[in-house]
Parts: sequence; structure tokens; C-alpha cells
Amino acid sequence: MVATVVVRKDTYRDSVTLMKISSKVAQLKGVRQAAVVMATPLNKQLLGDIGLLTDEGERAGPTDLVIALDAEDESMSSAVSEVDSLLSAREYVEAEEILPRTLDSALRMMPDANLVMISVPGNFAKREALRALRKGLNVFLFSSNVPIEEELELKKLASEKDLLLMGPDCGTAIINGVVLGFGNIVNQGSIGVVSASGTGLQQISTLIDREGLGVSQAIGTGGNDLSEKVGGIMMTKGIRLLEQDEKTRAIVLVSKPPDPQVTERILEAADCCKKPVVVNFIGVENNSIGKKGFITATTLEDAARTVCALVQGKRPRKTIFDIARKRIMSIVESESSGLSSTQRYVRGLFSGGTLCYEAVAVLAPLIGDAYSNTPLKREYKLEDVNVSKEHTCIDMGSEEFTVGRPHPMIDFTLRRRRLAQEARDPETAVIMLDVVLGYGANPDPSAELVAPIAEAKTIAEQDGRYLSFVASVIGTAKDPQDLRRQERKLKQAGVVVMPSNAQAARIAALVATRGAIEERLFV
Amino acid sequence: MSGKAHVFDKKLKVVNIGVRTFAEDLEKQGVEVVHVDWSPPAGGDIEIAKLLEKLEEGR
Amino acid sequence: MSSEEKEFFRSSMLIRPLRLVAISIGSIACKRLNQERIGQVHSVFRRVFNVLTPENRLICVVRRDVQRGPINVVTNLPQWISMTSIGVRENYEVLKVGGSITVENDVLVISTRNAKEWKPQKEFQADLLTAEQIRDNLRLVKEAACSHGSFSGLGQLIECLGDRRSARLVRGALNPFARKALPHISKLMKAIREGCSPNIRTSAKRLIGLGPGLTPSADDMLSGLMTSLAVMTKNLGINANLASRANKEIASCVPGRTTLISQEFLTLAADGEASEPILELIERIMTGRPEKAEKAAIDVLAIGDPSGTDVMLGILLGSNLALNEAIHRAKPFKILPLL
Repeated sequence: MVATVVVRKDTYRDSVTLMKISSKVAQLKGVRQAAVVMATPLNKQLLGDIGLLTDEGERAGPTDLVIALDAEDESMSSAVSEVDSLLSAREYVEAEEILPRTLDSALRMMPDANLVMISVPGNFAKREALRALRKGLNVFLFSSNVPIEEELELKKLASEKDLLLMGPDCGTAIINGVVLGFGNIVNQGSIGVVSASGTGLQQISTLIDREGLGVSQAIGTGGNDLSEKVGGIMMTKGIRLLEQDEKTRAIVLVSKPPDPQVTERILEAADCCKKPVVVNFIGVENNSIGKKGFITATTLEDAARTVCALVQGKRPRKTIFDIARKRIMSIVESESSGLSSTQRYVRGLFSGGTLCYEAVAVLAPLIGDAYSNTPLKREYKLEDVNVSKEHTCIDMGSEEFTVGRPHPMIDFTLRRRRLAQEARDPETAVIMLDVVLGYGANPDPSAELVAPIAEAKTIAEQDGRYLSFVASVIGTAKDPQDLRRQERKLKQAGVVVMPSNAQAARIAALVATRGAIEERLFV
Repeated sequence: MSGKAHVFDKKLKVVNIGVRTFAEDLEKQGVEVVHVDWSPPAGGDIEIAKLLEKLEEGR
Repeated sequence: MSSEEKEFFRSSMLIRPLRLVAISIGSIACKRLNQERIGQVHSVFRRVFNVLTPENRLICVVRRDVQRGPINVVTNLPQWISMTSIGVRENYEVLKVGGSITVENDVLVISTRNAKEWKPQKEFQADLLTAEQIRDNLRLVKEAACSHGSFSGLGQLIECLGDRRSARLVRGALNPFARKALPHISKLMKAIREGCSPNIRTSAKRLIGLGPGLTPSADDMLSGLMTSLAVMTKNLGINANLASRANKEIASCVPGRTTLISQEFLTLAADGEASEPILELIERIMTGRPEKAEKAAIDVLAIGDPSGTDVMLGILLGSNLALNEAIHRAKPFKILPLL
């Protein structure tokens, strides 16, 4: 007869559990007698009475759980290990699973998940994305600073498995009417978008919404998809998916001009596509790609309006301005009449990189190349990103400004500071802004801008100058910030509000030149 | 398990790893989401993390 | 639970902190919650987690499906979620911050703003049944226990109650705890009737801490005994000293002899404090129709911790004693016909 006591210090199990353990232990092979009790003085006495008390049991205290066994010699060790496993058995769902710490435990909670959103630091992104793809899940990869080789590897795998890998560095997507990451609440409809640019996607989707139409799916590919190395894997895939999607009737592609080889590949895919495709490689002139039989657009606005026209069976038209020429020129007159002779330049302060790029592209034929941290031409890269030179457009969402800070779409600190700086510069004629709404953006951007704009105008006024402000608001009335309210607030602050980034750039050029480029513009 | 077109037809069910506000925004839109309280593997040590990765891939 | 509620809990648990709402707070828990530093998490179970205060007392934070009680904070955590799975761990700090209880800052926040204080009614002289009716109810309650009870501890002795012949038959088949406890229970009841403090203490020391269960079986029996004595004494108009002496002496023997959780329940019971089903059963025995008494009995038997069956044994013992006292010694109590 062997008696052994398994003591668990400070162990608490409820009585139901203790009873279950008790009956299971008593039934184990070779166990003659068993007791499962808290080691109170009387219980220890009782164990002694029935011959189950050992020294270890004697040493236990009232807060200790004691499991005493009398078993045949050969059966003892297996009985003890069985007891051990009974005690450590996770009878209940453990904390790890409800507040999961890994993809695996999250999937135990939600076995039918179909998308994983990843926003971890870039050097850990591949690991997480790989896991998700291996589990057959689509991925939205917000993380940036992922090495290009890793991006390629991930996209190849995604392509093999017929999955979406949106990113790296993808900030926006709209899948099944759900906004992923940043993005606006837009109508659901029949226009599919595949975009390598986040704010580009936002501008296009909101303009489609303004036309009264809607988006079926808006797939983000991440900023590096159309680079030479990656070769446009996701954009190509996106085109194919939208081609197969029943709800999609027309497709828009958005990107900054890609590598020439990649351009070819994308255009091939667009050409093969049975559905009409509008290609918007921002700033690229029409004639270089228009001949392949799909439609091109140089601005985001044109792309949006063109695809809408296609869906409605109308003829696409290019937009210069929405309101009549006369009205435009009268606005230009009142904005430029107060300019002093030193004021000559447009200064654009952007939160969206693509919007900055588009502004530079729109301004170029009108007033010449602008300096930028994301210029069209290499020669026009700003030496010191903190000091404007001549016409300048700054992407304040780029690395130099965002390390260790929230993005300018949310935090306006740096933009406000730069605003004041430009106001003090006697050569600044017009300040141009993009105001982005929707998920992930500042809860009330116009409220944040009203005071700094007033201050800036005052700084200029005290110096005998009039400072003009031009802006476009990227959003919809359905966004929490409410497009109409934002536009109204800005107008009340004396800002000229245009319906798109492209139109804002054009009117800024008119104001800076005091209307001199009118003929060139209204061709 | 194939993804793709099935995503376009089905209800989105999302696992969010990383920034919490993304999960919150999805909830606001009525989407079923599980948020993963992510912390870097190997205590943030990149070298060890890379080794872990290699081990996983060896499987 | 509706599917919307399910969704609420599903998604709101994923983001720290988990926010719960306290629905009811026992009056003693209310007092213990009236300080900035409430205590530390002592133990975590499926339906409850216990908080140990600086004064070494307990507060039980419980799930929606757990009864109201003097030290219970009943929350809206639904019964399909285990308390062990919401991230609460032993030794976590529990604080009072504004109108909320926080656990380890951002693991759990329980809003107490709209919670109702639970202070049970324990006076029901106006609705007393006749002595016969009360005895009938006790018989019904005992039968319910024999049919639905769990007999791994002292509860097995219920079958022995009031019937000497069957007691002898059962004794052979008693589990070691019940067998060991039996003589001491008899001695205890005798000592209480005689008002003999030293004997009460001697017997109590032979019972406290004995038996299986997170709260030892004999402790649960003693809790039922003490609560029923305290409540029935008042309502049946018998000598108040009887119950108060018995409870005081038993309570004085508790420290060091049992687990901390059991100690808390015993101390509360000595003051006539117990959870809602237990108090409800005692009330129904004295004032309720037979089917109500039976239903109340089944509700008590369903309690896991403390063991309902063991508590029931104590209630039956206490009630019998109190009733006998009332019939033979007390001034005659009001006899009301059953409506």
C-alpha cells in the first residue's frame, strides 16, 4: 500500500472541479483510495485516520490543495501524472484566447476570419503577413519600411494562393463597403478602384460619390507595387479580380507614373480586361498611352469623372473648373488684387503625398515646375525641406516630417507652424491645402485650421500684404467630419474652397499670376 | 481554403494585428473584428526574431 | 442572450479595458468598496473572482448568473464567458476610481454608478405559517435534498435526519467525512439547545475545516446552521441569546482552522448574512406555500460554492432547533392561516 500526497500550494479550484478531479482520480487504474481536499487541520487529521497522510501532506496549510492517493506500486507514477494533468487541464477558455496575443489564438476565436489587418513595425511585418497568407487569409498591410525583397516574396505567395495582399505601406482600401485603415464613407456601387496611392484612392472614391455613383471595391496595392522589382503584381491581380466581380462594371487604376516596364505590364492587363478601364498615372500625358484603346486621365478628378461617365454611358469630358469662367476670374480678381509686388509664389502644404504630386503636375504647364520633396523632376527636389523655394509643394506626410509624430492628417502641429512660416515670407502669394476627412483623419480639421489661417492672414496684413488661401476637402457628407460642414467653415475663414485638388491647384496658379495664365488655362 | 472572390461576396471578418484604432474603426462600421494585442516576438530582439522565423519556415 | 448582446460582449472584450456594469452590490460589499484601494485579486474562478481587502475580508465579483449576496458585486458578464478568461489574475490591484472599480488599471473596469444596493428583508413575522405548516415545509425541503442533493460531504447526513431507523441503515454507507462529523454534530446541537458555550466550542473545533470542497463541507453546514438560527430566532420570537451565543462561540473557533474564503462565509453567517437563495429558502420555509418552499430548496441545492446540499443540512438542523424552541419554550407566536 503506497500513499502519496500531491500538494498544490495556494491552489484554488471551485468545488465542482474538485469533485470532478476526485471522481476521476478514484477511478484511475490501480488506485485503491483517493481524497481531494483543502489541507485544513481536520482534513489532515482525517487523511491520517484513513492512512493517506504523508509528511508533505502534514506540512500543507489550509490554503493548499491536497490530493492523496493510495495505489498499487506499479500504478502510482502514472496515477500521479494523470492527477497533474487533471489539475493543469485548461477546462475553461484561457485569457490568451479571448484577448489573443497571436494570430493563431485569434483564429481560434474567429475560425472563419477572411482578412488580417497588419500594422506592426516594418521589420516584423513579413512574419505576420506570411503567417496570415499561409492560413489562406487576405492581408491588408499598413506597415511601411518593409524591404522590397520581402514585399516581392509576400506578393508572390499571395498571388499563388489567389489572395489579396494590400501593401506594404497601404493606408487605404474599401472592401465590401468596409473602410480599411484611412478612408471615406462612400456609396457602394459598380466602380472598382485599384490604387497604389492612399490619398489618390480617397480623392477618387469621394469624387465618385459626389457624382452620385459608388464604389464596388477599392483595392490598395501599397506604394511600391509598381516599382521595377515588384512589377505590379497586386495591381494586375486587382484588375483580374474586379474583372470577375459581378458588381463591378468599370475599373480605375491609380498610381504615380510607374517604371516603364511595369507600365507595359499594367497596360497589357488593362487591355485584356473585358470591362472598361480608366488609367490614371498622375501627370503622365495622354498621348503616350491613350492609343492602346483604354481611357487615360491625367488627374484624379478626370479619372473619377471619366469612369462615372463610362458607367452611365455618357461621353467623358475633362474638367477645368466646375463653375463658370467668369465667376472663377472674379474670385481670382478679388484674391489677387491685394497682393503686393513681392508676392509671386504658390506654397502647397499637403497631408497626402499623391495630392502633393498631382498639384505639382497640374501647376507645371501653368506656372512652371515647383520644388518639392516629391518632385516630378529630380532637379526640383528641395535642398532643405524646411525652407521653401519659389513655387513649392510639400508632402508633409513623408518620412522627414512623420518620424516620431502622428500623421499630418491627424496632427496639424507641423502644418500650422509651416503655415505661419510661409505667411512671413513676402514672396508667398497663395497657400494651398488639402483637407482629408474620414476614418483615421482629424475629427474636425477645419476647426483646427481656422485660427492658424486667421493668424497667417494677419501676419501678412501687418506687413501690407494680402495672403490668399486655397483648399480642397477630400471627403463626403457621410464622413463623421461632414464634408459640407468642413467646406463651410473654411469658406467662412476666407479660404477659396474648390471641389477637387486639381481645381484648387489651377485656381492657385491663377491667383499667383494675377490671372495672367487665363488664356493658357481655358484652352 | 481559397480567398479572393470569396472575400468580395462574403461578410468581412477581420483579425487586426497592431494599432488598436483600426479595430475600433471597424467596430464602428459594424464589422466583426478580433484585435490581437501584439508585442514583438523575442522581446523585440530582431536577431532572435529572425531566428524564430527561420525555425518556423523550416517546419 | 440576444445576438446583439453576444456581439457586444464579443467585440468589447477584445479591446482593453473590458468594461462591465455592476447590477447589484451587497450592502457589506458596498461598505468594503468605499475606499480608494479596495484590495488585490485573491482567486479567480469560472463565475467569480474574489478580492481580498487590506482588512483580510473578501468581495466577490460575480457573473450575471450568480446570486445576489452580502459581499457580491453582480456584474453583467454573461454566463457563456468564464471569469478566468477575461484577463484577471491573482494579485492584480483593485482600485476605486471615480464611479468605477478598476482591476490592474486597464484589464477590467466595472462601473458602479447605476448599481442597486442589495439589502435583503429578514423580518417576516407578519406572514408566518403555523407550526404544522412549517414542519411540512421542512419535510418537503428534506425530501428535495434527498432527491437532488450531492452527497460527497456532510450533506449525506440529511438522510439521517429525523428518522432513527433509516439513520442506522445509512450509517454504514456514510463517506468518511460524514462519518467523522456525525457525533460532533449531535453534540453541537445539544450544546446549543443547552446554551453551553464550552461544549459549543469543543464541537465546533471538531467540525470547522472538515470535508471536501473549496469551502469545506462542514463549514457550509455550519453557515447554514448559523444563518437559519439568526434569522429564525428573530422571526419566531424565541430567546435571542440562543442564536447569538451559538453563533458567537462557533465564529470564535474559526480563525486558523479553515480556508480564507470559507472563513469569510462563516463570519458572515454568524451575523445572519447569506446569499439570496439561502435567505429566500429560510423565508419560504417560514412563510411560503409548499411548492414555493420546494422551489427555493432546489435553488439552494444548485449552489456549488458553498455546497448547497451541505448548507441545506445546516438549515434543516437550525430550523428544526428553532421551531422546537418556539413550540416548547418561547411565548406563543402568531398563528396565521395560510391564505
